[in-house]
This record gives sequence, C-alpha cells and structure tokens, in this order.
Amino acid sequence: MEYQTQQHEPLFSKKTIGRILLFSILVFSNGVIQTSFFPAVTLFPASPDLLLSAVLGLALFDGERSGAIAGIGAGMLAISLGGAGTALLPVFYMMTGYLIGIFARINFKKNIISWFLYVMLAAAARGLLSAFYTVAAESGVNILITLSSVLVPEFVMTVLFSVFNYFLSRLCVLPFRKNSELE
Amino acid sequence: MNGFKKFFTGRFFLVTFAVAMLVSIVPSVLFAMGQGDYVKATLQLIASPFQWCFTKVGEGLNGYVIYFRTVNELYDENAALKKELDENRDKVYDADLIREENDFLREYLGLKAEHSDFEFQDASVIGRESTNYRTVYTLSKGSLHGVEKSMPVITADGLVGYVTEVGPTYCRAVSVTETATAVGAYVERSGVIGVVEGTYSLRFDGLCRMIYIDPDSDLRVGDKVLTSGIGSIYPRGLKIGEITDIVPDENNRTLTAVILPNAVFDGISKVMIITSYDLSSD
Repeated sequence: MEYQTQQHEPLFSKKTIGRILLFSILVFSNGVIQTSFFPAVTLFPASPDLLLSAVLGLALFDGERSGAIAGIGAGMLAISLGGAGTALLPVFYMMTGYLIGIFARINFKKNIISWFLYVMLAAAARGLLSAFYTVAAESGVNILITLSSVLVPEFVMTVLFSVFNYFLSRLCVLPFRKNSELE
Repeated sequence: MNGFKKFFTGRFFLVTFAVAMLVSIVPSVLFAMGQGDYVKATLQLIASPFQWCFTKVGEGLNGYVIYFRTVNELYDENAALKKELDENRDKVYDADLIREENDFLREYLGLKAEHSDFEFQDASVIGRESTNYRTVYTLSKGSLHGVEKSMPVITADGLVGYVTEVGPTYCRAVSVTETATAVGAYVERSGVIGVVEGTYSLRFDGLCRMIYIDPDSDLRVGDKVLTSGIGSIYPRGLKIGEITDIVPDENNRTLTAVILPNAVFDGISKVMIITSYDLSSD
C-alpha cells in the first residue's frame, strides 16, 4: 500500500497565514488556561493537558503537518508558561501531532469515539513520559503514589476536558477545509 | 511498510523534528550556561496578563467551590459538635449524680462518726406514693439487703420515718409527720421528754407535734428535739426537728409543742436505713 504525504500550500499564502494565526490563538489560549485557570480551582484534582488535546485536534482535522508544527509551539508554550515537567515536551507534542495526523488521515474516521481513542493513547504516552522523567530526575519516587496522585488524575482530566478541543479545533479548521474532509 | 517509512524520512518530518529537538535542548543549554531564554521570556510576558485574568476567574470559581465545601465541612463540624455536646451533657449529668452521691456519702460518714454503733444501709427513693392521707416512700433496698420492718429511716438532716413494708429488693417507709407514727423524744437543751406524733391537720404543713409535756417544763421556740430511744423503734439522739410553737393542750394540763422536722421530705432522693444499733449506748 502506497501512502501519500500531506499536500501543503505555499508558506506565505493567505490561507497559511490565517491557519498560523488561528491555530496559534487556539494553542496559546489552551496553554494559558491550562497554566492559570485549572491550578486555581481546587475542585479539580489535576490540571488537564489541554495543549495535548489542542495539538491532537489540529492533527486530526488538519493533518500531520499542522499537528507537528502546533506540537512544537505547544511544547515551547508548555515549557515557557511553567506547566511542563520535561524539556522534551516539544519533541513529544510534535511527534504526537505528526503521528495522530497520519493515523487519522489514512486509517480512522474523525468522529468523537476515535477522538477519545487518540486522546487516551496520547495521554497515556504523556503520563509514561512524565513518569520516566520523574523517576529519572527525583530520588525515592514511589511510583504508586505518583500514579494515584498525579498520573491518573491528569489522565482522566485530560480525557474529560479534551472534548472542548475536539469542537474548538474542528471550528478552527473549518475555514480551511471542506466539511466533508472533517468527517 | 516502505510507503509508511517515507513519513519519517521526508524533508518536512526531518526539519520539524530537528526544530523540535532544538527548542527542547537550546533552552536547557542556555539555562545551564546562565543565559536567559528570550523566547521563553517573551512568551511568558505575552501570556502573563491572560494568565492573570484566568487565574482570577479560577479563584472566583474556587471561592464558590470553597463556599460549598465549607458548608459541608460546617455541617459535619456541627454534627460532631452536637455529638460532643450530648456527650458532655451526659458527663455533666453523671457528674451531678456523682456529686450528689459524694455529698450523700460525706453525710453518711458524718453520721457514722457521730453514731459509731449504727449500721447503715443506704437506699435511694425510687417511688413516692402520695395520697391525700398518706405519703409513702418506696426505697431501693429490701430484705435481701438486710432491711426489716420498723427499721428507722434517716438522712443527715434528721429522722425521716420508719420502714412499714419490706419486699426482697424494696421496702416502703412512712414519715414522722404521718398519723401512724409515735416517737419517744426529748428536748436537747433542757432534757424535757415527750412523744412526737403526726397529726392529720399538721401533716399538710409538713409539721408534727410533741405531746405529753409537763406544763412546768423549760421549753422555748427554737429548741431542738431528738429521739429519746425510750419505748420505741428509734435509737437515742436522732434529730427530729425544731420547736416552732408551744400551746397548752385543750384536753388536759399538759403542753403541746409544734415541731418542724429537720428532714426535707419533698426533696429526699437518698436515705439511710439503720439496720442495727446498740441499745445500751446513749
């Protein structure tokens, strides 16, 4: 089976600039909310990784190129706004956006069920990365406590709140894609 | 598989991967070198006002969350305090009972010291049968505790009455103000003797009277009257009461003294039954 890489438009076209602007706003907003709103509300057991679901949303609806670039931006934002635990987040987000973009384009539909499947997969990988980073960076880490107090709550919150980004990223991609391409 | 491989060998992937690696590594290297990361600082600068706004929104929402959480906490705390209050009420009630018992035992010890020949059986008043004609106390001790009919019943204040009926675990007693009683008595100050009895007319005022007093006797209002131990069931020296009035008897040439008993009959809750005493003692 021959897979085709995603076609792209010229860098300085109106569409591309519009995409960059709109997607930047989406990623930026998610980064800001993730690092300010959620930590302030004690009701939530953990802050969801909204940046991850924003990257996934753009990858799902606009393809691997947008996913990868948004991933780099999300990673930088995560490090800059203090919400990140590891410096490798830009690589992780970029790879996640790229891979999910490819899978979504060649294999799966873009409905809410497959969305949750992608999010759970990516959130699990994110949790794994955090766990590795924590174990490597800290001494005397109790993995069970880390799992129950950080990783699982973060996973659940990320999956739950990702539903907003499913619709928001779809809305952001709508001006640049035909409706049929978003199904 | 070869087709899939080109996704990871294409120019776009290689370039973005390299950029991602750069933005991951460069800030760490700059930080290690003690250099500021301008990209990071700029992003943080731009985001700060928005973060401030969303933090305020979050804190506002958190205020409501805390409010409702506090209400629940207050509810729990209130329930715990109510429980504690109930427990403390029980403790106070128990303490009152203990204090009452303590007072009673202290009085008991006083009596014991005063009348070393007496054997006591303490008892609680568990019932009070009151009719228009007679007041009968039901006490908590009976024949199983060595209580017998006609045994004197006292408190630390003075004579109460005597046992009229005995069951295995209870007994009944009537007071000295009842008409059926007659107690050999004497006036402490002057030694004047007589008989203390209850009368129907005086019992309603909580009084009794001393009769058969010689008209030339030295009697005064306020004199204390004690049991004489002569010809009755009572040992000598138990306080009966105080003379409140002295009147000549209408039917013969003797005096009658009205006596206010020392024992407060209305409030009696604990009494002592004298189960044994030495007849030869004064």
